[in-house]
Amino acid sequence: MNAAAQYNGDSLLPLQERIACGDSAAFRQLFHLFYTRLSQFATSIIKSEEIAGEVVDEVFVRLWTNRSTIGSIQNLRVYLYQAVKNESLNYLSRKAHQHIYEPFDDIYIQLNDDLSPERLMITQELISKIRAAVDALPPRCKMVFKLVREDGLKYREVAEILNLSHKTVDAQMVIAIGRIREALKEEMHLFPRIFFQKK
Amino acid sequence: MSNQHFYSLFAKKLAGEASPEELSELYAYLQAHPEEQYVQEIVTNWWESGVAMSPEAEESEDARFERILHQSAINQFQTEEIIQSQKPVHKMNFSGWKKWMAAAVVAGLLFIGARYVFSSSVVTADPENEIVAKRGTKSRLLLPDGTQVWLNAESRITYADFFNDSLREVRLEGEAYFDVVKDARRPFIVHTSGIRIRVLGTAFNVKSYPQDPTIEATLVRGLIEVEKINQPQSSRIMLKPNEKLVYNKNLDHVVKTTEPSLEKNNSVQQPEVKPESISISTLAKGIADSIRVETSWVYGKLVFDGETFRELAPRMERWFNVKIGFRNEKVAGYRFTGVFEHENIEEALQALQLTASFSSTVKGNEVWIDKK
Repeated sequence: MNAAAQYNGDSLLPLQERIACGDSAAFRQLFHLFYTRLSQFATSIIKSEEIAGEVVDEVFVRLWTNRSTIGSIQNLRVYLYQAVKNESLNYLSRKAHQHIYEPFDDIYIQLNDDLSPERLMITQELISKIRAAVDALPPRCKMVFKLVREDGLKYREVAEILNLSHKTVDAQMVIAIGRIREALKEEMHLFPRIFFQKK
Repeated sequence: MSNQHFYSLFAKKLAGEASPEELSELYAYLQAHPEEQYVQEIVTNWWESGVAMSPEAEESEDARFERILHQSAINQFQTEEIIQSQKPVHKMNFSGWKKWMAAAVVAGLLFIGARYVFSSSVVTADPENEIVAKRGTKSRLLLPDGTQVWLNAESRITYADFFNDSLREVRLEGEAYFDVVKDARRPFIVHTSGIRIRVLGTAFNVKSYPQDPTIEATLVRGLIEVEKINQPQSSRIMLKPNEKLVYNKNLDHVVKTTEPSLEKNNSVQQPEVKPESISISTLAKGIADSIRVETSWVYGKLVFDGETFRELAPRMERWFNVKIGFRNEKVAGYRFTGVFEHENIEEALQALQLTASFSSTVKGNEVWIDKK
């Protein structure tokens, strides 16, 4: 599990309190926890890593500038993703000279690298099969899946960030898991007999 | 169990969202379908391999983090309560992220703006807008022409509705920092109780509290012209960047003193000025605006440099929204140098007590200073 995934919204509160008091070490900690994943999130919307970095910088600059009010943010994790999303959409709107709402049907999502097969209990072949299945997911579905798995967000948090219902998030996860299972269908035939014998 | 339901339970288990009931439902299903168990193990294994954050990333992020702190410091004033007058802003030359920050506070702005406008009792035939920063607060406002004004504690600024037409005039009581939008055709004039300041496009600080014996104008950049209200022609003085003008309200005649300046040539060229209640000094170069006594308040800092406690007290009163009384004259004459930023009144007094021996009693908004 990665570091940021271990934080739920509540456990960021002590950090928030320190930040509100102007503790830059606490702010640095928060920055390291979220910078990479927020940049990836912004990149998936803006499709430019460089501009995505600037967008995330802006969000953190604003957070630090207004740090005295950070204590009143209920779920800082959701807040950060939402701020990055809004900032990214604003950027796209400016560029297109028109208002852009939720472009989650036109996004570019890069999955993080997995651990090497040596450190996993499964073969490279299986990993490739799963990744291909995930990569082929519809954009919105893939986004939900990535946020849940890689960023460790809760369903309700993903729902809040992407403006979806909890039910939709659940449905997207069902699609994702279904596709992965489909991709591994052949494996079921190789299933060791010992389990059958038990029955 | 349908496949859909199984996937849903499985996904929830992976995401850590499954309830105990859902988990036992899933286990029961897997018990009955061992072929699914194998796939489930593969996927779980892959899922948990998740993302390994590389520690090198943190190092490259550090430079980025420093830039963020720096950027925030530059724009510290954005934390101030922002107040916008009821008129729409015509043009804002904010660029990049500043624009977005400004946009983010618009809702708050309108609300606060409305609150102030409605709470002010100015309903006269000559419609005026009045904006007030109360004791212990500061405000930032945008005038209709886009000029930015930071209003220090216990200060008010008023301007007429026809502000935008031919002349830009404001009346100030208290302290304000102006960043005036350049417009050669429409001079910007600040009226105070004793002096008038005429500008074209510039940034400067004016301090004119009724209870203070002096009125001060400090120029950060640009060019301003200052004149006494009662002798507009003879008292006219041009101020250059980093010059500070002090007008002594209590002196009938006026004194001009020029502090020794590094740029002797420039100060020599200053025309001899008759009115002697006005003095001009050149500020030391190379000091950031954020730590200058005159402008630091814009950056959320109360800076004092060798002032006596008695001189400092009115500034502290406005800053912390307190009343300060002295029970000992010797203590009132102590001189202090330092900066307050996030401290409350108790912490500020404690800090002063580290360098000088005195006692203080804080009761509500009243502070009494005495010898130890």
